[in-house]
Amino acid sequence: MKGKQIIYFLVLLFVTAVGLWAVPELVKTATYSKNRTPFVYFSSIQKKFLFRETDKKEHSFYDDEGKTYSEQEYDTSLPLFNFRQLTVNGEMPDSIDGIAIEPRELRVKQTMFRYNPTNKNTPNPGLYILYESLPKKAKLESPGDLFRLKDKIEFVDAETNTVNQKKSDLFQNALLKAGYVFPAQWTSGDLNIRKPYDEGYFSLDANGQLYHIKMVNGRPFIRNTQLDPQIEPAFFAMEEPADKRFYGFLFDKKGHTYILEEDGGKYKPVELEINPLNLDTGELMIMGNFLYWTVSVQTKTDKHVYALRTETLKKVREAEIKLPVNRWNVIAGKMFPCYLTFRNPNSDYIAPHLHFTAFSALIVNVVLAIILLFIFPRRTKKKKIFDSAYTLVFGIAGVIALLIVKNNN
Amino acid sequence: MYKSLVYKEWIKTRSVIGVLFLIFLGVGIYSFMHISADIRLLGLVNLWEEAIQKDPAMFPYFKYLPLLAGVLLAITQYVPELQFKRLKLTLHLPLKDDTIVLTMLLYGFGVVLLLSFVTLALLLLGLSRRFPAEIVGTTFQQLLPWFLAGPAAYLIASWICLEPQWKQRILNIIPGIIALSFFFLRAKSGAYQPFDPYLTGLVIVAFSFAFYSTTRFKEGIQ
Repeated sequence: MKGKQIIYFLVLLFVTAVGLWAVPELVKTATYSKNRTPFVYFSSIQKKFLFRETDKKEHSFYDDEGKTYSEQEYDTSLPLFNFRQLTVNGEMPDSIDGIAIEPRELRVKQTMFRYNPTNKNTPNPGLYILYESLPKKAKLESPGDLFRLKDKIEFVDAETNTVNQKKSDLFQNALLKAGYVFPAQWTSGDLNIRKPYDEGYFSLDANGQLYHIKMVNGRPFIRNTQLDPQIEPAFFAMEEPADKRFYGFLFDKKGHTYILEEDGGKYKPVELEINPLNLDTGELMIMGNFLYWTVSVQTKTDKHVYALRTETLKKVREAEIKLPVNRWNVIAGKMFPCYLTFRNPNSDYIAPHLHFTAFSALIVNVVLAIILLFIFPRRTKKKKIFDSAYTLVFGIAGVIALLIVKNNN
Repeated sequence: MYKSLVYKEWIKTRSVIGVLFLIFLGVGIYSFMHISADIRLLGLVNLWEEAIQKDPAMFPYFKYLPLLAGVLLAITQYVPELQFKRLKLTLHLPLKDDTIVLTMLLYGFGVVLLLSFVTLALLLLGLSRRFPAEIVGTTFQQLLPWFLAGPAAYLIASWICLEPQWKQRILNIIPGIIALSFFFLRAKSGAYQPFDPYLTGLVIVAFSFAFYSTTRFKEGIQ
């Protein structure tokens, strides 16, 4: 009898767990709406943030002081964003603030970068491609091998599926000579062969030192970036922008964001004057032109927008946008005191997460538990109490499980 | 007695096991032919680079095969038992009821496990001849939830097949299918790593489900 009861509980708990995931997932699919936040860009003419909001194909345009604009006014207020359209219309200004606008400079100084926590929280196969950074041809060519960098560096030849010992030793010795301490903590670079040029990889060694690793004329190029000890690198995103101003975006453990510039053979981190970014929950978006960068830092509840001077990355204006509460979150807070998910918007990994919403949602459990006390009169008193207590804890999923899994005792 | 019981299960399932073996073998051979063709057409370097950048499925045809094997084997083993209540006769054998059910379950579970994991090992072994350890590891991460779905599907299908009441059987199918969908969530290779222990836990817990159905059968529920 005892074993039978244990098996009943196991089946009941299994069906409850399935319900804790499936019922909220169904409700979420039916009610989820994407958070509509206005598109924002800093106007180099007005020196204000301009917003474009779309509601059912209707656009509205306004600035951070509440002044509204027509579409025409909006387009001409953002010449560095709409330059193609304005050039076609013959409305592109020759200069802004006395600075002449060169089409080429306009193009190469365009920056577009987006950070999402899934960039960091994602599985990494641990193999990389090291391109020749000074290729003889105009475009990059596949080296024919991949490398791994953890306890040592090893190049694996694709044709033979064996380690290219000569090349591996060459790079291993160069790394050791440059002071690199194994094992590597992480390595980051852009593996895409279609990029305009190659700057290799940035790798954090066991001592927390950030190294630049690339291949120049078939030889290893290894340098310690010699960052200020105050900066503890947490993540690096290689960018390799068209104007070659910087290598990529560096994020430290305190949440500060930097660009890593080349400075006469040395490496200079330039901090963006924005609030710290939580790399595991926050999102960052940068849209830059040759005068200003518009930077958005989004958390779960709000979005901070910054206008930074492109040259110095110092803040010239800041605004805050409150994000609307998602319909799903409102419903979850009323129906499900707790529910199960396997996906996390901040990670590519699949894992069970138990979410607790609001105490007020417990009312649903209490009401269901009371109802269960009075219906199905054929049950024993003990069974009634058990069913109600179970519903009190597991709510809707608990009731469904009790209805599916019958206990005949 | 155990030997006879296992032999009885073998008689019931040998044709299905044979068919499953041929399907797994055929799909395995076809998968390697496909990879060989890709190597010839695209070159191994490109395949390696694609594997680490685009995360393609190396053996996509195996996605639902272990699941199919689990379900088929459970149906072959237990549907005849429920027809004309033959299970009643089986449970009258001179062994404890739970021991009889456990032996039958272990037989089917063992077959699915063996078929799944020998195949998995052979696929990875074959891949390791032309691909580096990291890509083989990534492929293992990709295949593991699909191959764990085989034993899970067998145990869940056994729970459903041994259930004596049709209405309850349908009710069991709903959480059963939802639970099996956990093994097939769209994800990058390696993304299941933190979830694999939970899926293994689910397989272990699912071992008890068939006993719940046979208890109901013994209680005369129909």
